[in-house]
Amino acid sequence: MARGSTITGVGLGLRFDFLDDVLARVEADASLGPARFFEVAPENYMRRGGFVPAALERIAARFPLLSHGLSMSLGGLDPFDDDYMRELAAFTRRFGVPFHSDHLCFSGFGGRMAHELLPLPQTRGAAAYVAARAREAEDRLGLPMVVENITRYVVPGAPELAEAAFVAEVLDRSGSKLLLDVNNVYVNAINDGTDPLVFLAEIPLDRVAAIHVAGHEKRAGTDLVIDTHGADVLGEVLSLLTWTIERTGPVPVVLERDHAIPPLDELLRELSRVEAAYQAGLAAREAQARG
Amino acid sequence: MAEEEEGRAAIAEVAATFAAVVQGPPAETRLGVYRSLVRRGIVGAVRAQMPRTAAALGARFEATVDLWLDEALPRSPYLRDAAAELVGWASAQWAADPAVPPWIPDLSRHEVARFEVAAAASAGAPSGLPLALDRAVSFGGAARVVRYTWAVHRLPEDTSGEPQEEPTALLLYRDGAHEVRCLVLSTLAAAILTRLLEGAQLGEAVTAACAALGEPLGEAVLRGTAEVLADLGERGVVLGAVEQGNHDPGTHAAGERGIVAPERT
Repeated sequence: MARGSTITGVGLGLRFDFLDDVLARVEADASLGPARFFEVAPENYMRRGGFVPAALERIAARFPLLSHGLSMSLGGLDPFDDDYMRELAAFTRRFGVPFHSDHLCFSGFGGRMAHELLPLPQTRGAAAYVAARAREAEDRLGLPMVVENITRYVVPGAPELAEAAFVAEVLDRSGSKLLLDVNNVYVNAINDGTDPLVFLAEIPLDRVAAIHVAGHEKRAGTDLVIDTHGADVLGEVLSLLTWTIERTGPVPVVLERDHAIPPLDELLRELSRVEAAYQAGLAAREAQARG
Repeated sequence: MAEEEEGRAAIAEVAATFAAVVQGPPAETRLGVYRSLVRRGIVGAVRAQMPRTAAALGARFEATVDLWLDEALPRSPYLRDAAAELVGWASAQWAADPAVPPWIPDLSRHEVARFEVAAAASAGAPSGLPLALDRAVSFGGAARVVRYTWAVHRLPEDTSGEPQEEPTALLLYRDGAHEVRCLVLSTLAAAILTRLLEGAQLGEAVTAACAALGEPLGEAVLRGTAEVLADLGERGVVLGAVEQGNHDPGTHAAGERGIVAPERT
């Protein structure tokens, strides 16, 4: 059994900005607040030596890890990079992660990498194509693939399916589970002028393997909300988390912060807010079970 | 299968749209947001790896990155490779541009090289085999030889000042505490180490380096080479002989320092 296969509760997306601080607390056996695990972007540690992977080894000795990739380009037309896939498989084996997640998007074209999450056309054909790629990735990694719904600022092409139906179609065809980013759901709903609960109600919540929460910001001079991971999590997003946990039960929930990262103690206080929302969801679920 | 082909076609169409947006002119549209997102992410990663080059170039740095993204974009799935890709693309242009300080190509290569040494995959454990003329040498510490026309390694960390024009050969390596170290090499030491790092046997490397530089191959060179390799052994850079061919314990390096000198980096 993979070491992290029973991970639940809240954890933190590990970033270089606070890697030293986390390591210092791990070495001192000091508290990391409600953090039960860390989620890492394997690309930051793969094909690499020196301080960074050494630090991760020490952190992984105390905390289980989740693996969340940035560069697989699951929906891309370029073949998977063989070296990348080999390194990724070795990384996931090394740390005994229960699954590997990446985004339901493409990240490059014609051999070039945009290093950005570019939205796919919401068609049945695209769902079939991505699902086949997800199965290929799963075979090559020897590990379950989990796909994440992304933030998108346009719906490209001529959509045949609503976004939730597109995600569900990919999950059905691939057998993959879902990394549900409730902040992405919220941001898309705000930008579309829709209700995020409509999306969540249409998603197969029984397929949720993990959840992301993060903050977002308004783009200067526009009404557009951008998923920057550069602000505190909004109360509305935490409410969506509670709503979701009430229906999924315990799963790992990751707080992502990539910009304007506060000191670790402040970040852990933010994680405590996430923990409270998570526990509220579990309590509501328990109350419902009791009738 | 037919559905997947339809999917490929649909994605290809969308990818062409995004390629045009990402590598096209700025646009105040929702699609145009992707151009700025791509640039923000890549520029941030590149700038973090080469802060002194970015500071020295000022607005020209951003303009160069912009042009690179318009014309090329990164190829590697690792964002941390983007700076090296940029330098590979921009070095010749910087060198040919009279408005760019002539030491910028060296400085950019040095900043990227230091990062690459810090992040290079770790080598194996010491082989335990003594060095021998008929064996290649095993290196750790992500060692590499770099050569510059300008002494950019002496620039202060605070991005001020300009380097002196001074042909320089350095050995960059990572020490046991994961810090990048820099040793100034003589021309001969650089020539020998370059060949050894390429996998040449020790005897071949010394002979070829001397021949290339017109240096007589005598006792002084052999002794100096032994000293350098012994010093590098103490630093954890030389791990021993590569396990192949015959080995002659009599050539095991030992001695004093001399050809290399530590340099603050």
